[in-house]
Amino acid sequence: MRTSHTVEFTSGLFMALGLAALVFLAFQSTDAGGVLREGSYRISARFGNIGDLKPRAPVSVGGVTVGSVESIELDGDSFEAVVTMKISTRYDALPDDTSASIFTKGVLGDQYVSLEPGGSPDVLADGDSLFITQSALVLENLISKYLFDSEEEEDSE
Amino acid sequence: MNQNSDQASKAPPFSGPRSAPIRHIGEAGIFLFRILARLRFSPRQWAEVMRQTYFVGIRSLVIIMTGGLFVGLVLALQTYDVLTDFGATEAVGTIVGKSLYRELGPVLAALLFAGRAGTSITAEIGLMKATEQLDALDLMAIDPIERIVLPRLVAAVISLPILTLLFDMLAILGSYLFAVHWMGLEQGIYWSNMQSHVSLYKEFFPGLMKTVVFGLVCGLTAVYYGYHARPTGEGVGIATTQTVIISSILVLILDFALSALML
Amino acid sequence: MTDKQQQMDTIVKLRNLSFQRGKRTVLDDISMDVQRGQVVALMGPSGVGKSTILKLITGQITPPQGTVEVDGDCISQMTVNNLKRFRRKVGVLLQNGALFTDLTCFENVALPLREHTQLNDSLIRRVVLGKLHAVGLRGAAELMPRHLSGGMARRVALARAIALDPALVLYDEPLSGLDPISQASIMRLIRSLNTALGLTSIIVTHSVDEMHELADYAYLIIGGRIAAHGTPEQLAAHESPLVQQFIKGQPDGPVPFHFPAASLADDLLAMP
Repeated sequence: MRTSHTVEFTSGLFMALGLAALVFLAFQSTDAGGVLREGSYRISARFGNIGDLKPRAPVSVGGVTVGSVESIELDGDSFEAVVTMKISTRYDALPDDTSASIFTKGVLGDQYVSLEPGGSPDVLADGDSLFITQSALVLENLISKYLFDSEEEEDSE
Repeated sequence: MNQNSDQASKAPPFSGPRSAPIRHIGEAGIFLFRILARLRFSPRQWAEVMRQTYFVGIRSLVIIMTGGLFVGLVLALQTYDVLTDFGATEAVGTIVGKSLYRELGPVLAALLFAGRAGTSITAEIGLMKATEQLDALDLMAIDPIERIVLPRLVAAVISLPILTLLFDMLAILGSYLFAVHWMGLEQGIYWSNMQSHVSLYKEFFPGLMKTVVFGLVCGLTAVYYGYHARPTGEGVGIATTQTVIISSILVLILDFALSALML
Repeated sequence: MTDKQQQMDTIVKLRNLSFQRGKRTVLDDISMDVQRGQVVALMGPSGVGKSTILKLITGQITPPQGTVEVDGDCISQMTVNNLKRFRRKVGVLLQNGALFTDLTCFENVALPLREHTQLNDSLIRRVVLGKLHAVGLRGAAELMPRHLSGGMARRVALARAIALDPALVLYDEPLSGLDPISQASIMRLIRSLNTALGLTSIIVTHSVDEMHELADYAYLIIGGRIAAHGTPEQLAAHESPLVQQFIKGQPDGPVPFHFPAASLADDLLAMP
């Protein structure tokens, strides 16, 4: 009888260990992490061109990741890309004149959204939109612009 | 000549060596249904399942955790080396996580499991058959499939996902150790890169689903070869070898099939 | 052999049993009656199908031809559940005991009780210790089977076989591979349990001494057929040379020493 209880205890422990590993791995090493651990709020921004920005791409301020891209949709009227971002509530004091740009990590890296805080005293809240945005730099456009030396600066916002 | 053709015509259909693999699959499938038909969910059966989970799971723990740790270290070492050339070392966690959760974790853990727990299940059941313990149960009107085979199969299905999680965890810790502690990568970057690129629903859970299938396949192979072993020392030895070979092949084939399905 | 008076008290009745394994005929038209309360020996050379008869009696294999009746029930017509219920009435001591290696002696004997009765723990304990005491191994209750000698393991297995108080106990080579002391103690146990518990025992053996010592009645099976049957004395006095060869243990006779082959001269000359 005594031995069988040891067996039950140990296999219970084994299962608990498995569960702990599940929780740890899920929240520490996948995209379930960060989101569940702390609250987040949503802001959106409109871009003329998002390049190949993808959902779940990081959103950073000064290089520090503060959130991620939740969804990307096309506005049917203005034909602009609407990028919705989830920002951690830890960073809830971003001014409402913050600007958003799409940059590329390294030369071949993924694209991400970089936020540049402005100087406004009012802060962004859930559901707000950013007005100042800078579209992704598309390499082909840059090259053709350079090669043909055309004066199309006004077109690219 | 005449005798030969006589024998050939007398041989039952589908008994040749060429149809053997298909026959085995069919037999194993029928065996699986015979086992599942005996699931009772009674407290006594669960107690036995827990007991076998202890034997199957705990005994594989050391090899699984050692394996996981070193796979993580090697993965990090390799990818870190390559990533330095591109100046993208912060992606090391992402690459480790992505390759681990969907493919390496489930497959390697299943292979180690087949080698450690699968063989011991086969040898145990085979020896029980060779020493007439299965007959003795049958003669006591205790169903050996319900009593011996089923708890071991269920224990394998329960254990392998848990073991794979522990394998994954040790591998993550191994790569963390390498990248963060030895190579000086910022730990926040390591984790946040992983978090932003490794998907819970598209990578982590599908991997976990796979291990349930692998647990069933490894467990069924082990009990099948044990239960059908020839009741001699040699027969048990052959059955044990078969278990390793067949479950490894099945795991690799099924991994491809499941990956293709889930993509 | 079909005395009308005795038929009432026949516990095992085999009629015209035949059994083939592949193309080889293992049993050929066997008919047997075992009287209640007797110790009956099934004798014959190795590999002659004696164990097959035991398996037919327990219903582990179904005969292609013939019938097996135990205690008035026909085994081959039983449903799975009836067969299970029937097996509780039959104890079997397998060749090497076949104790469960991962259970203690106590748990080995307790297993059939736990499985088939609703007895509570203290009652099971009493029954198990009683059975172990009957075979003289109450003191070994908490040992694992691997710590027992062959003879002790066989005795624990015997305690397990009689745990459910069966009406019929089958012994498959109960003495093979044991030292003389263990053999003597097992023999005494088989005899004394038979009288004390009112059992019927069927013993498969190839040892003539064993048969003389234990059996009330014996069947000699050679080549898948019943070569002779009777009390040990009747067998000893049997006039058939086949029976005499077996009883006296002669190497050559009707059962040839040489495996069938071409003549030695032909074989040697044919060597390349």
